[in-house]
Amino acid sequence: MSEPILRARGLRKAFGRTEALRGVSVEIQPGEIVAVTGPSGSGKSTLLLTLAGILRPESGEVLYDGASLADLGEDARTKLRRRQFGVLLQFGHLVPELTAVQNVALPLLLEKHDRAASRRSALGWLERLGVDGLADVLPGEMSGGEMQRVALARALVTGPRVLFADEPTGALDTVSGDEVLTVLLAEAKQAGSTVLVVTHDNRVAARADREIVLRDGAVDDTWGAA
Amino acid sequence: MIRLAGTLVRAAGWPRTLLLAACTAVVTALLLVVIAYAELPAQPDEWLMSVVYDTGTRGGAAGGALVLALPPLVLLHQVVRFGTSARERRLAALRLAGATPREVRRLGAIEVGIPSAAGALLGVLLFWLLRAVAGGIRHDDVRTPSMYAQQVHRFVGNVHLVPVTVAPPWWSYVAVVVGVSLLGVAVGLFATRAVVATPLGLVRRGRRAAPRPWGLVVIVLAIVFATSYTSAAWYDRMSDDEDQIFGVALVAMALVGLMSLAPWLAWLTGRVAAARASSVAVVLGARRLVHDPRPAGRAAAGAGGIGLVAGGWAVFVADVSGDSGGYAGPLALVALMLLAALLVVVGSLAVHSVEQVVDRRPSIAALAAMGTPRSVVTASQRWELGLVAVPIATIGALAGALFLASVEWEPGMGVAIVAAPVVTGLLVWLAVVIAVGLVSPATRHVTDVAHLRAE
Repeated sequence: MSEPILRARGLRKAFGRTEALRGVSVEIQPGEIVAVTGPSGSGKSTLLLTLAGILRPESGEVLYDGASLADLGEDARTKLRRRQFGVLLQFGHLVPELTAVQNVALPLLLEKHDRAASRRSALGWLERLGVDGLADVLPGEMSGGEMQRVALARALVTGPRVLFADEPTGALDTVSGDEVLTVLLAEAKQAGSTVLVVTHDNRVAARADREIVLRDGAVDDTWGAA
Repeated sequence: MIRLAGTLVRAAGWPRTLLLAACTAVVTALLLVVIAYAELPAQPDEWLMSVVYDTGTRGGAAGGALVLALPPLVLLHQVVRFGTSARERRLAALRLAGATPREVRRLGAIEVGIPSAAGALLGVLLFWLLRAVAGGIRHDDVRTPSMYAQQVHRFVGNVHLVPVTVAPPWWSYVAVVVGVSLLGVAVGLFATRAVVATPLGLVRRGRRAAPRPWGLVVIVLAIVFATSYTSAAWYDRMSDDEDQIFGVALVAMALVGLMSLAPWLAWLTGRVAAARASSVAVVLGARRLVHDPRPAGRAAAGAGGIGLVAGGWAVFVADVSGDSGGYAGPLALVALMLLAALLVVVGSLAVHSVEQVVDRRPSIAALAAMGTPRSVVTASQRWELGLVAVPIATIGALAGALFLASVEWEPGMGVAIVAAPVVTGLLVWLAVVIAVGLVSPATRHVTDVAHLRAE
């Protein structure tokens, strides 16, 4: 087995008196598609945001390619997320004033890419995800599924090595959710990206290579043992 | 209903309540000063600064006081808009609890009206404080100034601006307090006119059309009147009083034109910048202006007024530079007033900026999560404000300078006409930087990716 791309050791994270993570340790292999499941309040999103370097754990560490994220300053973590990671959230959270193509081009412009080249690249991703007709449409005029596809294009446009998706189909109807998930998995497979997807949906979990079940802030080792 | 509105006022937070009260207090005090000027006889029984003492310039001083009241009024509107999301949630919760749309609107108005009325009452005290601190000296006053008065005098120097031998009639106090309170209520209704109360939350009415440059029409009319001022046959037949009223009316027209032009200018500069920019900060700031230019335009409108007065001031300074002795006091006073107005504009810009980031919390937090540095978000706030505040101030300064130069051209005015817009633009950019710096804790809080979502 190859070296894990992400490794978490003994992660602990609390919000006030609520302990969201209680000593979680996981390993993610390159190219793996991993679903993180569990009941509400089990710490799924907290684990995802901590692995992505968005939240800092109180104790324990996250290693990306063998290097500890704790050793990185805020600027370095920001650049790491921009260049190596893609983040997809439940409601897309597109910038409401920007059109679809402008939203997708944002990460490229942040990397100081040429304006025209960024637009071309963004248009290419919109086309791949079947929403090129919405290039000049504002998020407020899109359906939930369309918004999520545009958000997926924004997450993938930099060619991330790891895609973190937090309930990517949670706000969508069954048909739209299936469509978004199919596109997400197909594009990730094609790009060789590692995918970590937090979900409540058993159908999403069933399409992953592996499932990590959390319960009360800890990995449920008993799941699937029977 | 009043008790419920009081609860809403407390829920809105003390900073908003205090800012609302402060705005109406300043407006009330300034209006009472204007009324006191109107009560002064041609030969006052007190020593006042020449700009107030002389009947020839008293109208201009009254106009200046009215102009000074404009930035607090703009700030009042901004403060009402402050925390709009939370306010809408509160009002929507009332709808769910069974309040009718009419009751919700009334509550929204009272919620703003209570602090406005309290501020208007405090404004009366502020007026009397101004009388004590910057009042005239009675001709028959031979008392030795108290230690306190001496201390105050060391700070304010020879500022004798508020008449003490006359006072506004009692009914004018009532009229001003009631009028300013109602103005606060009206601003409250104006600020929520774009939303419709529903039991599921307040829903904004559909996308609004881009603003139109109607302000240009008013400015052009002011220029036409100003040009005809010296050439028209009726100019010679005007009395001093009519002359002053005409001048103040022209300045008021130019001010109203400039300030109502601000939203259109915000939309225009945003559009031009967004079409050419490749920097993320500029794109974000400019697109916000294109998407909804009115809030930023209103926040920056005061900068246009400051520019107009500053432009005229600079040309006047150039005109009397050889003989500034008699004008030094009034000119320094106008400069101080401009500085005070600029501080109010800083407040207005800061309130707008914090409202923008709070309203866009999810998308800004998502931007941070995908690797957007906080410095880019902060720079986008500066661009959003700067793209409207700097042009409107520069245009205002140029208009003010040309306006005064057109009345009576002197060769030395050329430098002032060029320098005034440049310096004003730079000062307003500095105001933008300070405003965004003031709200940086709020921006830091909003861009904290830890707020994204956590179970």
